[in-house]
Parts: sequence; structure tokens; C-alpha cells
Amino acid sequence: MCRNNRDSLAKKLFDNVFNWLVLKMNKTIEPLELNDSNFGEMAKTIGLLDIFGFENFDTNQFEQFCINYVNEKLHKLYIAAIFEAEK
Amino acid sequence: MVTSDAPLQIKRSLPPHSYALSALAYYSLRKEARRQGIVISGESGAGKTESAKVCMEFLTKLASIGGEPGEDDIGKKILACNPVLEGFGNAKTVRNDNSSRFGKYVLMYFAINTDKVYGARTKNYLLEKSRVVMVAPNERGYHIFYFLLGGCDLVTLKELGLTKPDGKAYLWSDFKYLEKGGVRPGEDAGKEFREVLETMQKMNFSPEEIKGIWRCVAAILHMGQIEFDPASYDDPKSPSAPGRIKNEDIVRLVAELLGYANADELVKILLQSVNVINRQEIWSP
Repeated sequence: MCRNNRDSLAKKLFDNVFNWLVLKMNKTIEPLELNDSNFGEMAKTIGLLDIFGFENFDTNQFEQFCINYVNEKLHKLYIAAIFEAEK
Repeated sequence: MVTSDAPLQIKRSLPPHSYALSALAYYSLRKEARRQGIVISGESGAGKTESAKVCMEFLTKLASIGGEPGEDDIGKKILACNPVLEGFGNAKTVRNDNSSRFGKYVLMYFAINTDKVYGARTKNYLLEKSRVVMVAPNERGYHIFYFLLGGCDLVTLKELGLTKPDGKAYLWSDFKYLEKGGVRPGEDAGKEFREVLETMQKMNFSPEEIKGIWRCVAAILHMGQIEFDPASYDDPKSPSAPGRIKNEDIVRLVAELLGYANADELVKILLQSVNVINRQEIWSP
């Protein structure tokens, strides 16, 4: 249990560092008007989604479950969109 | 080029290409003034992250055509984020030497009148946290640990407690959190470390902030070295016996790196568990 405490602390710390980095870098690159409510609707944007792909290792963990679940969902959405477009 | 419809026409006659796709998104954005989205999916190691980078690069290129030199600084900054994100969020897996262990959504903003790159916002999803404390054989922890140990100057490493008594830097294999992993062939930790460092500087990180990050990274490595007295926990005879830490000097080092004034606080956190019942914190060993 002590090991668990130690490892959770380490994991959380790394996660926080990572989140902080993203936040910090966003501050440098995001448009200043972002908090303006009108801006959000008017803005021209291109969104780019890059997520982890399907994975199957010798031993899989909860993370692999999440990753593959997201991919399944995404695939479903994609197929639905294609069928919708072809109709 | 800017007004041409060419990119829209070539799309069906050729196999798909990142450039064509990015161009299509950009010209559709201009023509229809509608938001566009690019979804990159595929199996692990297929090249999604690289494709995403190619798309971003090409989009910023396209949007800066005809602009003044120096005008696309923001575009350069957007692209410059990548080394940091990869350093902290990518790791070697059995399938891929540089596998993203997180999802990301980059929203690029374009100026309403000129269609120039205006800014961007990155959102990250689900970083694989278990990798911080456990690495499978032939895989590695996050790159940044290796970059720091192999590429940082010795003075800074010493401040972080990452040098041996003889003055040399510790190796990755000296740390419990990394020791089970393997190596990434052909890596130049020094070069990679410099790249991450330079990016942080370019992105307006202050020297204190950068140092703070290294302290956190180092603290995580040290945390893995903390050992507990096995007799003091998981003992069926005395399940509530207080735990003991074998090497308290490391706890003190971690506390110092993280700016805890009082190392005993950290000891308490490590040895006890908190249950919150009816908004009351109950600490138990």
C-alpha cells in the first residue's frame, strides 16, 4: 500500500507537469481574443485530432482498454458519417 | 495559387496524401468559411503523429503564402511545441520507438479576413500514467527521463541529486522506475535534451519554470528509489502497524526538490492512507 501511495504520487506529479506544459504553451500560441464569447463562433478553425491507435500487447492494462475503446467509438462515428454522406 | 481550386480537383485522381488533405481543409475553410476537422486514426505505430505534424506544417505553410517575412512567427511557434510534447508524452513501445502515449487535439485558428494562422490551442487527453512507474521489457519510460540523465549539464544534474558520488551522472538503469526497460537505438540524448530546452525557451518559459520542471522530473526518479520496510506492511499479524521507510534521506531529497518545507509531511503522505468519510479525513497507517 505504501508503494501504491508512492507510485500514485509520482504518476500524478508527472501528469500535472505534462498538463502544465500544455497549458503554458497554449498561453503563448492561443489567440488573445479566445475568452471573448463572440470570437468562438466567428473563428475559422481547422481541428486536428491525433490520438493513440489500437494496441494489443502481451499484457494489456486499463490504458489499453481506454485507448481501444476510444478508437472503437471513433470508428463508429466515422462509419456513421460515411453512410450518412452516401445516402 | 491562393485562389485556385486545383487542390479540390486532384483529390480523387491520386492516392490520399497528407498535403492534399490539408490543402483541401484549408481551401474549404476559405471558400465555405466553415470549420474543418481532420481526424487521424490508425493502428499504433502507423504514423499518425508524423502525419499530424506534416499536416500542421503544411497548413501553416499554406496560410503564410504571400505574407511578409516574419509574419508567420506564430505558425513557427505552434510547430515548435512538438519537441516538448513528444519529450514528455512519448515513449518507446515494442511497436514504435516514438509512440505518443496521449491523445491530442490541436485547434488552429485562422484570421477572419486574411486567413492567416492566428493561433492554436492544444488539448491533451489521457496520458498513460502507469508508464511513469512501470516499464515493460523492451519498452521505455517517457523520453524526458532519458534526455535529462543523458543530456543535461552536470552542474544542473548535481543540483537535482542526479550525480553519483564520483561526479558522473546516474544512468537510467540506476533507477527502479526505468530499470526494466530497454534502450532506443541511435538516440542522441544530448541533442534531444537541447531541443526540448530550446523549445521551452522559445515558448517564453522562464529559467525558474524550466528548473522547476527538471526538479519535478528528478523528484519522480528519486521517488522510485524510496523503499519501505517489508515487515511493516502487508503483515497479516499486525495489519495496522505503522509503515517504515528504509531510506529517509531520499524522501528528504524529494521533499527538497518539490519545495516541501517539511519532509515529515511527505513521510506521512507516503505511509498513510486517507479515507474521506462524511467530509472528514481519516488518516490510517
